[in-house]
Amino acid sequence: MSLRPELSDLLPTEIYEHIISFLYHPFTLKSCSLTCKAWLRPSWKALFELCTIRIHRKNIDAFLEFVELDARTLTFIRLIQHLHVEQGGSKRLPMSESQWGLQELGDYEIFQFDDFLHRFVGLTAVRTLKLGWVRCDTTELTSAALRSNFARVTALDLDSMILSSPEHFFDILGAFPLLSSLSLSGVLFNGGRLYDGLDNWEELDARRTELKSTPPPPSNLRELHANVTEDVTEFLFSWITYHDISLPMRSLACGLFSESSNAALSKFLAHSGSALEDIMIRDAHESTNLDLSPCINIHTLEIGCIHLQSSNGDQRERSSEIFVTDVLQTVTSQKVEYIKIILAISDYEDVDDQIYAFDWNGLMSILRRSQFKDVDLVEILVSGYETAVERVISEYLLDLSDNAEQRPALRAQLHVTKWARS
Amino acid sequence: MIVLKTSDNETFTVERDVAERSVLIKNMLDDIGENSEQAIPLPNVNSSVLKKVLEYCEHHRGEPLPAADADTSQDDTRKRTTDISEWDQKFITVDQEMLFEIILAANYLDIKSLLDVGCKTVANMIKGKTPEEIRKLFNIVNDFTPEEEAQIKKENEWAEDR
Repeated sequence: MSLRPELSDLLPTEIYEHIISFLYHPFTLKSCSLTCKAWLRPSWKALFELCTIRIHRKNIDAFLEFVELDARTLTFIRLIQHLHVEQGGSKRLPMSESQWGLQELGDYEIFQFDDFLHRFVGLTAVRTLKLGWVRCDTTELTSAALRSNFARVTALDLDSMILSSPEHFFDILGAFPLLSSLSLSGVLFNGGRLYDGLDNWEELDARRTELKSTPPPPSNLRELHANVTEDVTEFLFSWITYHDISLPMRSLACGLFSESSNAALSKFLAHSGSALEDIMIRDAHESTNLDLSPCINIHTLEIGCIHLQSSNGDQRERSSEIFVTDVLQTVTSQKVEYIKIILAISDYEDVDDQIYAFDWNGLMSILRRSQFKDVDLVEILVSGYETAVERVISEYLLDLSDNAEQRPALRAQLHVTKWARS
Repeated sequence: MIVLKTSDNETFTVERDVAERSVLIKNMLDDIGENSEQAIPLPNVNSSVLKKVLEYCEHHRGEPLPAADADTSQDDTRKRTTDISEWDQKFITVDQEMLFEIILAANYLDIKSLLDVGCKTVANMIKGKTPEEIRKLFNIVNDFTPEEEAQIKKENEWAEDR
């Protein structure tokens, strides 16, 4: 059935745009873009809000053709909101003599940020930018290009980047004055580990005092997700705390590696942790010196993956058994709604030994505290053996003889599911 | 009580808080003052549509109005087209012509929540349709050249799900 022409003529463009803004299926939005000229821009706006454009050495030339075309006519380029750019190839590959003369070995399709990023013009709608695969092979040309072409980006994701120095990192970071979300994954400094090769504490301390010359963190930073090594983790939190700026942080993901990196994290939390709502502890190696007590607004807390060890392990390994208890003991927030604990159970050791080694008594004792009584869900994600974990939990619940009336509430909170690595 | 006068000269007497779900009417009332007894003319709305609109306003009276400067563009829940309350869904189950009349009236009267309900319903109708089917539904003429269509299809290929 068609709309009467008298009525369809009455519908202003902004109503069509409003209707399109409620669509979230790429197929339908692509159909809308092909309906008529008036629908093209709003359809693309909604479509590229949903989709990420991935640029790499295989499609860079085709992409740049559209960038050039966009200077003359409407293309999707100016509506891209989420862009993922990955470097490819290298100028630094070894050369070899062959019958055709001197040639690079293996890689002929070079897409280097220094040479290409300045050509990424007209991408005015980009808000989420992911940059990947840097191997100490970018210079200030890259940061200058980022500064001029992506200054309105609010969420930056640096993935698999080896940077020549912390200054290199700050040079890139400085290109994004509106940053509210920063995600670092596999980011390394100094062409490798930040504090490697330093064999005395004086030199190490000297490195740390270099914080004086660092720029302050983005003042609007609300999310920081750091999937990086211990040294970079320690550097990041020391840097942020050093500048003594209270950040509006809502979400934090990081690893717990050592006493010193945990101490740096705890100092940071004491300074900027009060507004944090979501905390995700990814690498769970060491709980000493961690203090979540300043985080009085935690709503969700994720811990893991924790590799369970049987109680026959050495002292360091055994700490995995009480890791969760140690972390939860420092929580003071009265607003926790959701706790996620990820446990990896090895197929190569006795399963029951590993499961029983976990500090279930400690966990249940903490969950019975009044501050956790309103937690909706304590999700235990396990790499396998869900039934065995359920059985052990039931046994420990039965042992709550002193507070039997709390059993149903605890039982309702605890939920065991299979963990699928995302 | 407030008197509203439709394009077909019918009058409706309604309580002020019901009428004030419309930002247009609220602003008019603010302009003409508290004690005015004159009917507010609504030349772009006929009586059958206003009756439906007032049914909606009556049901939702007392609910908080969206802030004038609220930026909903980043609100993911707003995007869920099926996310229409049960009452609203039943209310908006009308013939296609009435649906678009309600959308036009909500736009004119500036009743954002009603406009959203109407537009979400139409968005649900569009879901999964081809360009030709959408054009037919809205009586839209295809003003693209074949070359332009081919170019758009080429650019659409760049869009992947996040």
